[in-house]
Amino acid sequence: MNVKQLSIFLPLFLLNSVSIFCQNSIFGKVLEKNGAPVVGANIIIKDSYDGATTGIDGLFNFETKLTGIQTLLIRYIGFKNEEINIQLPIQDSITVYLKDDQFLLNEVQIIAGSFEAGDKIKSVAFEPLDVALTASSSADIYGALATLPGAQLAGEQGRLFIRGGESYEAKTYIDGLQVQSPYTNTLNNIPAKGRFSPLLFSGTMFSTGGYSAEYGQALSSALILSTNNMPSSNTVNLNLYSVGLGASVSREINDNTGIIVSYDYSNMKPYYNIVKQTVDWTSPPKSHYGTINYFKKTKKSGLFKSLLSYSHDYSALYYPTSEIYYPYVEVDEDPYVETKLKNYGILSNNTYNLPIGEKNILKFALGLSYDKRTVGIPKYERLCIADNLFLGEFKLSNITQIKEKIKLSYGINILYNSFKEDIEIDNTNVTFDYSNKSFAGFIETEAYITNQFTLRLGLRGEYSSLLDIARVSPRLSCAYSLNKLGQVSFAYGLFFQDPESDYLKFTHNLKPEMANHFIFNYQFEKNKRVFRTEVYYKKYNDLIKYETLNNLDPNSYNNTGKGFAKGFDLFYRDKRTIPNGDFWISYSFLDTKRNYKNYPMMVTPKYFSKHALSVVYKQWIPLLKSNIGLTYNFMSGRPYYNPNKNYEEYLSDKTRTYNDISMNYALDLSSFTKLPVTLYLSATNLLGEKHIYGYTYSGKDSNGKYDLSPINAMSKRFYTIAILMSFK
Amino acid sequence: MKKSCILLLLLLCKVFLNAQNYSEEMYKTIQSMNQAQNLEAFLKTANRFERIGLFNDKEWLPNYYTSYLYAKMSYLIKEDKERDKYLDRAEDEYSKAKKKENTDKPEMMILSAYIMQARFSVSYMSRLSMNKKSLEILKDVTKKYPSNPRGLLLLGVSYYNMPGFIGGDKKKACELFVKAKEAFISFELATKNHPNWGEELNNVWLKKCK
Repeated sequence: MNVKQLSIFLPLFLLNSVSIFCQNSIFGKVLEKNGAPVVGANIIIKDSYDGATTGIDGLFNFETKLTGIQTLLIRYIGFKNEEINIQLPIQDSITVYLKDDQFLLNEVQIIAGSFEAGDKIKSVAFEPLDVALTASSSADIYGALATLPGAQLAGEQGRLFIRGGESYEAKTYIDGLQVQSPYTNTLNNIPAKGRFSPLLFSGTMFSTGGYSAEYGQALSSALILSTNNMPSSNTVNLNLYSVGLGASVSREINDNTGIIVSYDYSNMKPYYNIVKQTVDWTSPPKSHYGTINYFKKTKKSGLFKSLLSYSHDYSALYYPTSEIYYPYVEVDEDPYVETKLKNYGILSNNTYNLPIGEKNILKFALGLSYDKRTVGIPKYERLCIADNLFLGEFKLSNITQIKEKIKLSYGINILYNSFKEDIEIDNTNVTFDYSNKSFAGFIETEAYITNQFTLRLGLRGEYSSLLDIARVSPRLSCAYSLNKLGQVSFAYGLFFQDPESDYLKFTHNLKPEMANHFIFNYQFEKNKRVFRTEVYYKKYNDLIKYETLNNLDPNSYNNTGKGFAKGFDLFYRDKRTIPNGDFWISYSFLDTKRNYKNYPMMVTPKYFSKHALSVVYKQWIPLLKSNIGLTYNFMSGRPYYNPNKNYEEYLSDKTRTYNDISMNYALDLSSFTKLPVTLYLSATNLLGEKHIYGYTYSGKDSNGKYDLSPINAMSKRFYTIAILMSFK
Repeated sequence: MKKSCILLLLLLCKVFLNAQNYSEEMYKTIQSMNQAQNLEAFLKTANRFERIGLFNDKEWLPNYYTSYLYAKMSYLIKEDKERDKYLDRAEDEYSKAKKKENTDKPEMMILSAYIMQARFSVSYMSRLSMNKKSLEILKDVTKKYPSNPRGLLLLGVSYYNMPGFIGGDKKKACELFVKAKEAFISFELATKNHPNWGEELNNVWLKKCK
């Protein structure tokens, strides 16, 4: 290389980095598509340190020593990168338009029909801790959900009824698998509670209709729970309640393995001795409940989760004879008879999620559960009714990102369930049983069609071997963003559910029940305040009808029942107006009628109130280290049947309205005790109102009239005192 | 042979110049970061770090600082959704830094905990688990690297912000801030551009303890 060559080469080389030539000025502006200025965008000359940040009005201006053709890169959070080539020096102002990166933002989420809460979900409407801190919930998942629009809790049942749907139409899923018995098993008119502790779950998705094709066998509602993730520490929790005690141990065995073991024991006897009950218990409920969660991270970022749960409870009480109608049993004149109840339940849920590449997640799930429920009435020739229920489910699904803006999920599930009822009377045995295999497949696609419009289309097919019927259910939902004015979404779906064991044990000649949902939703969210309203219409077909329950004649059951439900919800939640406070108001209007079961005509079923209002308020007081929660629930009167009236006036009477104010209080004692200790107190029904959920009737009195007796709460108020401790 | 020698020399020269430029450019940007007081100024320096990072794509520090600044900026923004966007960005830059060589292990762990703390502060109620996770990371860091002042500071912040019933402890927090103050004085930097933030923040927390 001679000097001449070098003289050519050197400037070329220097040009690229430390040019000594004069400075060039680059200026211009960065705008959004609609012309709004982008403030704070990064303007970069590629392969150099030169660049600038846009100021107010989106303007930028900087100097560079570079010359020739250069690439200008423009970047801003939430927008797509833009690149342009420029020739330096440049005289003209540069104008760059940035496009939203809709995929990064996912701003338009479909929310019609659902409330979702979890670690990763940015939802203002509903949060995981809401379950524990809602005063009227008594730390029960279903109790907390009852304060959300569209849901009503029938007090004497303790179960959720969603938008004119029966309680069995609302299914619970844990990690994608169906739960056979989500509630503790009780006799009719004795309220049940959720079987699983709210502490087991980190994610909740509560859908009051129009849900994804992944979920089947639920006519009205899906509660989709996800279990906790791996514990990141070793802790021991010890909880003392007014009705029992509980303990749990979390251990991180190593970076990839963790385990949580918990056990709870409750015995209502001491409590019932102090707080008077309307029910005459000969043995107040006692229960054992244990869970084991096991976590294992595998190579290639797979995660295996396993939940094993065991429960066992026993109780005995004097129960109204009129509520016992069973084949082969003749009841006597005594209005009450001692009834014993014993339940066992075991559930094992196993899931394995395996990411394949960057675009696929493969999910395996296997669930097994077995429940045994025994009702014994020693007085009636040692009558004993034992129900054995088994459910096995295998599910395999895959979620794949087929394009930048299109997600596809598909999968299959195979279900096997069996039911066996053994009735023993005076050493004679009668058995009713059936088993059913069903096969289902689903496919669903979610597409971000434009920045403002998201569409989800799904299809589910199901076949049941017992009924020998195949069904196809389409699902559709979409959301459209009105930008600063909120968003609207719409959902439609067709839903099927196989008849309950109450009927299948007598006949297989039935069809699945069917419902159509149409939901329209509007939501506006700003600065920790959210307002949403939903209008819906549901149409039911093929509901089960019969003349009398527990009729042994298979032909007495058919699918000619039908019904509808329509109404609207209003919901407002505000975490901003009151410092350290948070409240929501939810109102539901429901107009529903059905002609099913043994109803003589289309009427509103006894579970439903036309108007329901909930106000939930939570206040954190930093000075006192306390959290106070207040809940007000109102429900208009529920229909009941007065047998002294004509049958044409079936369910035409209404109970009086329901008003309840509940309160809870949590106090952090850690500054006194050195250990983290929390005191928790709660009381329901502060007004002391006598709640009436309906009426039952038994024999006629001397005037030939039926005696109506009200169905009340088991006690006026329910109090909880708990001390929660945690050790490292 | 001679020709290629000169070429090689020139190339080396360029690499060296770039390296020096990189180190200088980083140093200057860190200075302006330390002087920045408002969102606008932070964003400007974050953008500068980003430019340096794009030009020197083998270095981890530019991504580190960009990530740190986005997490820091998230505290200055009111709207929750917007805050999460900044934290998404912080996480993104963090994972870019993590993929590079010669990263400073404790500083990276501390940064990830710092981002989680910011996430937690967006929504205390729904993200308790985030705070728990950051607490675990910080406990680990302070155990393995007891002289790192930022580990002590952030561990203190975690204890301070956590409700008592899940393990919060203000007294413990304040002891940690005192420890961190000493650690800041004796802390030795690996290079002049290595992370060295937090002393002022620690003083703010110490004042709260009084």
